[in-house]
Amino acid sequence: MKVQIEELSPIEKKLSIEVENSRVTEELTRAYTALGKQVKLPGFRQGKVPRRILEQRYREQVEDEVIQRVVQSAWLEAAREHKVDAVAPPQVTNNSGLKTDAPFTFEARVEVKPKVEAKDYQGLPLTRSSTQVEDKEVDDRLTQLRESMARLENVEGRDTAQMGDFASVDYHATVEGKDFPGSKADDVTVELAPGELVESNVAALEGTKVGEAKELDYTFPADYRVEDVKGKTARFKFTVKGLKKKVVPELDDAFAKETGEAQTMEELRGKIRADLEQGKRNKAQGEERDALFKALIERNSFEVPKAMVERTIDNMLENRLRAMARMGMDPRQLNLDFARLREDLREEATKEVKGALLIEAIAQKENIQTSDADVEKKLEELAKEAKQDISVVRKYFKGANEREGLSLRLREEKTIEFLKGQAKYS
Amino acid sequence: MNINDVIKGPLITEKLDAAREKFRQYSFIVDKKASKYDVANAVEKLFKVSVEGVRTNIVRGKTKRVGRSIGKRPNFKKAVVTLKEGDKIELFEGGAV
Repeated sequence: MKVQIEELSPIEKKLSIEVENSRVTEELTRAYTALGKQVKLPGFRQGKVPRRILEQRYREQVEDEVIQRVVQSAWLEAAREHKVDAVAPPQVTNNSGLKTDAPFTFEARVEVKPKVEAKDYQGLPLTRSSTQVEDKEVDDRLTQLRESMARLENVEGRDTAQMGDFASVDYHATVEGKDFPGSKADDVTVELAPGELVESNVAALEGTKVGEAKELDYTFPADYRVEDVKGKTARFKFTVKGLKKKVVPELDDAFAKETGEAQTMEELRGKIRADLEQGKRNKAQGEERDALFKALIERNSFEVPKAMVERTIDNMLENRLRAMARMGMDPRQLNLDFARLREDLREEATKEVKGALLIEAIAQKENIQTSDADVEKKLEELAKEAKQDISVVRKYFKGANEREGLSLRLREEKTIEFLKGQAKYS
Repeated sequence: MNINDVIKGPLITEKLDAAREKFRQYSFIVDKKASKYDVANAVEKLFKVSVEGVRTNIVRGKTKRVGRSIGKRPNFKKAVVTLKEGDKIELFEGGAV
């Protein structure tokens, strides 16, 4: 086998490959023998059809198949032998066709991983974002929790509605004296608060006693969802049946227990704080990674193979679709415009690919490696994070591919740490 | 007989393929009414070869049954044509068709 390699660009190579005749002949013989065993022709017992007749009938088919097989194996061999770091299957052109007296030749164009020489990666500008959690943030989160756990309780010793109450009412509404869809309902809870009636806020009920009725006019918003009453004024009659008020739980140990997160208030605060800190740290890490990638790419410009970008887009799309599915959406029903989505993702994907290549180059230059021990440690961390037993996590990362991926991820993390250590913080 | 009506098609089987190799005998399915002379004439004209001899016989169709119904495959006339040494008919040789 003879191979000539021509570099078309840093990311594309052309291989001209010549395969000896004998190898092709061998493949042909194998193909016809295999075919002869299967073929059924009238006048011949199965497996007894002479090759001559097979050739007469199936030549094109067999030759196509043989060409494909020879190209595939020759290409793989050539790539291995000449260390062509292909990122996608090659495009094969100009094959000479099978001839009995001449070697078989073809050309393969293939995108290769560019040789990236990372430079200027010391002193990258970074902004240190604070991961400090203020007391106020914890308080805010607590207030939210309290609100979400509030209960409605019956009002005792008072039968006149006040602002802030929740009233249980029956209502009947008419537009120009007529009913409309949804004009009547029983036992609806409305809040006495300023706002739109359609959002269950009825401030005008203030002062109405239990058992009494109150009539009022209300104009529906112009974009209301019921077509018949859009922008029209309706006469509403509310009958108040009961009053309730919102009781927000006290911030005490009992509340902490009820959240199911902690036993005491102290512990709950600590947990919330830790959560918030973790969130901030994660966000800061993401931002720093982004900033590093951006700075690196600015300082090192090179072309990336299309195939790598496309593959990254594929992965990103898949992740997004999976995230959607987790949230209960069916991507098939959303009528997504995939071509546009891909376009939208392209820039980000390109950045991701470039960043990954640069990180790899830096890791190689700085001799940053990951050991099996590192991987084990990461596995333990992952197990803790996912609250799973380590054996489960280990099972998931059993395959060589998964382990390799994890090891790569670790190397990236390490390299980013290294870069951060050298970065200039402002 | 019109020479275009004589030969209906080639007949290729393991046995006849061996005969072709050994004795330069080529076989055809021919019209039932065609005589040996008709066949010789047609083969010479159509394939531009010289014929040394022709043997014919009627091949009886097999009776076949599918469940209760019995059927019979049609009879046909087989002609085995021996060519003069050196001549051949490409159609039977394989390769280019």
